[in-house]
Amino acid sequence: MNFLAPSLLIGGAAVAVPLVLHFFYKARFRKLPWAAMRFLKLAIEQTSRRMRFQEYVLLALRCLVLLLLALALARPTIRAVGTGGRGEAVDAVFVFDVSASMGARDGDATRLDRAKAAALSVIDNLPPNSTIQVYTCADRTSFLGPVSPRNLDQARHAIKNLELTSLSTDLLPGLAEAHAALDRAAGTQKEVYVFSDLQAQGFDRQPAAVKAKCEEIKSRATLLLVRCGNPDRAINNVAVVDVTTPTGIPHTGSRLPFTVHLKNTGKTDLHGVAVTLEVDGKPLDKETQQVDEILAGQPTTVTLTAKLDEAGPRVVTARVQVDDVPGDDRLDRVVPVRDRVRVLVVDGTPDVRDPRDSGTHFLRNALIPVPPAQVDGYFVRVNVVPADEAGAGLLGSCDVCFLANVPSGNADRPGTPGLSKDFVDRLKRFVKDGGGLVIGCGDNVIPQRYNAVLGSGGAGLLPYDLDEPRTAPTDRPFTPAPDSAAPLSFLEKLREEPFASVTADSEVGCTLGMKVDPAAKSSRVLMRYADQTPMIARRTIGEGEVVLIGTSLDARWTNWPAHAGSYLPTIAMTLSHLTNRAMRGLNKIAGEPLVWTPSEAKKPFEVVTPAGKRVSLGRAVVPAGGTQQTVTLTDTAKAGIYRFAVEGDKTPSGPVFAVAPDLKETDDLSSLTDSEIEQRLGFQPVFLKAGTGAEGEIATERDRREWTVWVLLGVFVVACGESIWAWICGKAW
Amino acid sequence: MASTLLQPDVLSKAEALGLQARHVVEGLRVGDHKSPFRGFSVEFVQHREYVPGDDIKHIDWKSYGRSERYTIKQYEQETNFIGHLLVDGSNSMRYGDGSANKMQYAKLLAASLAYTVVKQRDSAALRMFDSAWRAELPASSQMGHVTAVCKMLEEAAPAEKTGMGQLLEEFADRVARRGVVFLISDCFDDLDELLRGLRHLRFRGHDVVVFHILHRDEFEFPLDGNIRFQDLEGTEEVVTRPHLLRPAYLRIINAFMKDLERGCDAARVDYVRMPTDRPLTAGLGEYLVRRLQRAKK
Repeated sequence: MNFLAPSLLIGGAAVAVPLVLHFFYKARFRKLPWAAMRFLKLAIEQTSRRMRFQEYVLLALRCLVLLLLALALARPTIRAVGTGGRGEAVDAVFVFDVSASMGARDGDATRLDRAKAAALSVIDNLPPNSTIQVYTCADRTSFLGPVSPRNLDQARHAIKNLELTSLSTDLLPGLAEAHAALDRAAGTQKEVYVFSDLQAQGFDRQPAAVKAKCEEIKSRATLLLVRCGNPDRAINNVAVVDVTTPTGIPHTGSRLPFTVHLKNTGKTDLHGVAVTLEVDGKPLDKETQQVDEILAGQPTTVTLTAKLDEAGPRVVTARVQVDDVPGDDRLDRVVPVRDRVRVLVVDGTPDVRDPRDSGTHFLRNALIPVPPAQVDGYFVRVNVVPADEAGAGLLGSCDVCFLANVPSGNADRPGTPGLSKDFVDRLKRFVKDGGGLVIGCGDNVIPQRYNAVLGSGGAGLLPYDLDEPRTAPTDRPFTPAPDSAAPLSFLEKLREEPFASVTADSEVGCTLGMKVDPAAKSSRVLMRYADQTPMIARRTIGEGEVVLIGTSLDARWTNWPAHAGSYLPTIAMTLSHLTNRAMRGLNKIAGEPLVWTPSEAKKPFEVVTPAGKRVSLGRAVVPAGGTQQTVTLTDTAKAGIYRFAVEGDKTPSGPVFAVAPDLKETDDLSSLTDSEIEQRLGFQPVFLKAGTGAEGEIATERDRREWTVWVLLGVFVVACGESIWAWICGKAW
Repeated sequence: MASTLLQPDVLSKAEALGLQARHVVEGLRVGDHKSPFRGFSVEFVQHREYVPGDDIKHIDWKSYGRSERYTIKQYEQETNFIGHLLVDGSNSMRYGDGSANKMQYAKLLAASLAYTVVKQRDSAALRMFDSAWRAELPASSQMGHVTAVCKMLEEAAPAEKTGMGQLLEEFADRVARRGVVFLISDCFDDLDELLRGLRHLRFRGHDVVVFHILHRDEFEFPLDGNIRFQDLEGTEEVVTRPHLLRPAYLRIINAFMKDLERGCDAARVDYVRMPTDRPLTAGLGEYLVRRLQRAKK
C-alpha cells in the first residue's frame, strides 16, 4: 500500500491522544471521602477485570478511529504513490515504443497508430492542471517534448508526429528516462505510461535492470503498460536478412548473381513472396523473382542477378512485397564494385627458367582461376615479383599483397634476397590504410628474423610471433581441421562440404609455430591443425588486415596447394575478404554511428538521410584518442541510405552508408502475455489495451486504487462500534 | 428550645402523632403504654380462678354471686417507657454536606425523637457510640432533659469506625428494663453482628427501631469522573471511575439494605430507611403514622 499524501500519516500520532488521556485521566482525580468503602471495594473486586477489558476495547477502538482517520487523510492507494483520484492533477510520463515491430499492421491500423490514439485519449481524459513528458524508446530513448510539461497541445502535436525507427526494442532506456522524469514532476500524483507491443526482447535484453527500474517506478508512480496490438492476431512477416555476392568480389563487366536471404518470422506459411533487387535504385536494374513458399519460422534464399557497370560503392537494395511489418521488407547494402583487383605477389623462391617451379605457381593459379586465354580479361590482375624487385612503389598500385616464402631481409638466407627496409616500412602504412597482406611461410622464413622485422620486434604486422618450425613424422603428417574454422570468419565456409573433406585430406609436412597471445585482441586464430596448433591467423591493423598462413603456399611443405577444392576457395575467400574490407564499414545496422574520415576537412559537413532531409553535422573533429578528423552521425535510427556531403554541395560527394534495420526486432514478433510480464517484473503493473476504451479503464483504475473512501467508511464503522460498545458498557465518557 | 436540632415542623408533626411503644414496655409510673405487669390497676383485663395466697380483696364478689366460684379480677397496668436513643457517631456518619450530612440528619432525628418521647411523658436516654460507647445521657422525662439531649448531640463529633454489633449486645445485657430502642445509624458494619445485636435486644424484650440513615449518593451512586475515594473510617484510598462501577455497586448496596431489612423483619425490628435528602418531617412522619396504624390493629 502507498499513499498520495504520506505526510499526513503523521496524523497517526494522534493515536497518542487517547492513550495519553487514558493515563492522564487516571492521574487526574478529585478526592471524595467515602463512607461505604466496603461496598465500593467489593464492587471493584467484582468488576475490575471486566472493566479493564471494556476499557481496553474502548481504548483500542478510539485509537483505531484516529489511525484510520490519519490513514484516510494520507489517501492510501493499493499499488502506487502517484495515483490520484479522477479529479487530481496527474504528472504523466509517456514512453512510446517506436521500434520496428510497432509498425506491424494489426487490423486497420499499425500498432503505433493505436498507441497514438490511446495516448491522445489519455491526454483528453487527464484531470485539469496535469503535466506530460513524452519520450520515445527503442534501444535508446529521446525526449519529444513538450517544452512546458503543462502544454498538452504541444504534447498532442508531438505524439501525432511520432515516427517509427528501425531499431530493436529495449525498454530499459525508456524506463530509466521515465524514472528520471518523475524527479522533474512536482506533483504527487504520477503515472508512467508505456505504449508498446510488449515484445519479449523489450524485457529480456536486460531483464534484471528492467525489473529493478520498473520497481523503482512503481515505488513512486503508477506503471501502466498499454498494449498496442492484439497478441492473438498472427502477424505475417518476411524479413530481408542479408544480400550477399556468392562469387566473391563484385566487379564490372558482367551480370553478377546476388543471394537475397529471407526469413519468415511469422507463425504462418507464406506463399508467392515477390523479391525485387535494385542497384542504386535504378529501375532498369530491377529484377523480380517470386518465392513459392516460405515456411513459418524458416529462412530461404533467392538468387537474383544485376549488372554492375560502374566501379565504386554501389547500393544494392533487396525488397519483398509489403507484409504486416514493413520495417524489414527492405535491405540496402553498399557493395564495392571493382573494375579489377590488383594483387602484388612477392615470391621468395622465384624460378625464372620454369615458373611452375617457383614458389608462387600455385598461388598465382589460385588467384586467376581461369584458362590462360581469359587471363587478360579477368578482373584480378596479379603482379609477381621476386623479393629483390619488390619496391615500395609497387604497394601504391595494389589492393592485396602476398608474401610467399620471402626472407624478411637479405641477411636471413645468404644468397637469397629478402625484403628491403623501405618495402617493410611502406607495407606497414599500406596495411594501416586498408590494404590486405597475406604471409605464406616456408624455409626462407626464419622465425626470429621475421619476429624482429615484421613481428613484435619490428613492423608489428604478424598476428602472432612465429615459433620454431615443426616437422611432422612422414607417416603422420599434420592435417588441417576444417571444423576449427572460426565461426563468422571469412573461412567459415571451409566447415561446409565439399570444402571440409578436401581440406581435411590435405597433408602438411612442416609448419611454423605461432606464439598465440590470448591478450592480443586484434589477433585471432582462424583455423587450426588437427592437433589444435594454429594454421591460419589474422590480425587487424588500422583499416587493413594481415593473414598469416603457418605453412607454405607452394608444395614445399604441404600438398595443400594440390587440393584445389580447398586451396583455391581459401585463397579466393581470403582475397575477397581483404578486397571488400575497405567497404565493410559502409554497411551498418540501425543505431550504429556512421563515421567518415574526410580527406579535406575545411568546410562543415552534412548528411542526407533516407528521407532526403539534410542534417548538418558541423565541422570534422578529432575524436578523443584519435589522430584524424572525423565526421560522425549518431542518429541512425532509420534504415536506409545515408550520404555524407560537404555542406552546400548539391550532389553529395562523401561516402554512402547503408543502414539496415535491426533484425532482432522482427525475428520474434510475439508479445508477452500479462502473466508473463508479471512473472518478469515480479509485480503486477496496470495493463491497458489500446483502442478498447483505455481512458475509461484508467479513470476506473484511479478510482479503484484510492482507498480513502473505504477507509473513511471504516472510520465510520469503527466509530459506530465504539459508540455501541460504550453504550453496551454503559459508559459514555 | 433554642437548639437548632429541634425543628418546629418536625416536632409538631411528631408530637401530634405521638410515639406508641409497639411492644409492652416497663415504666416507673402510670403512662400511655402497656406495662408487662398485670395487676390490680384500673383497666380490667380478665378473670382467673382464685388460688390460695391471693389477696382476698381482689375477689370479684359480683362474679361469685353469679357463678358461686371465686374468681380474681385482673387489671392491665399502664406505664411509661424509656426511649433509648442509640446514635451512631462513627466517622462513616460524616458523609454528606449541609443538611444532607448523615450525622446532622441523625442528630436531628435523635433530637426530634427525644422531644417526642419526653413530650408524651416518657423518658428518653441518649447514647452515642462508634466502636465503643462515647457519651451517655441517662433517661429522664423532664422537658429540660431534651435540652441536655440536644446539647450532647450538638457537641458530638464523629470519630472512630463503626462496631455496633457487640455494643448492642452489651447494651441489651446492661439495660434490664424493657424499653424502646431507637438505633440511628448508617449500619455500615458487619451485618451478621448487627443483626445478632438487634436480635439480642429483641430477646431482652426491647421494642427496637432501626433508623437507617443513608445519603442518596450511597444507595444511588450517581457519581461521575475520576475519583479518589478516601475511606472515612480508615486510611484506604481507591481511585476509580464510579460510573463504571455503578451497576455492581448498586447491586451490592441494595443486597445489603435488603438483607438488613429482611433481618430486621425477622427479628421484629422496625426498619426505617432515612435518606438524608428526604425531609425529616416526611420520613419520621410516615414512620410514626405507620406505627400508629399498627398499634391500632
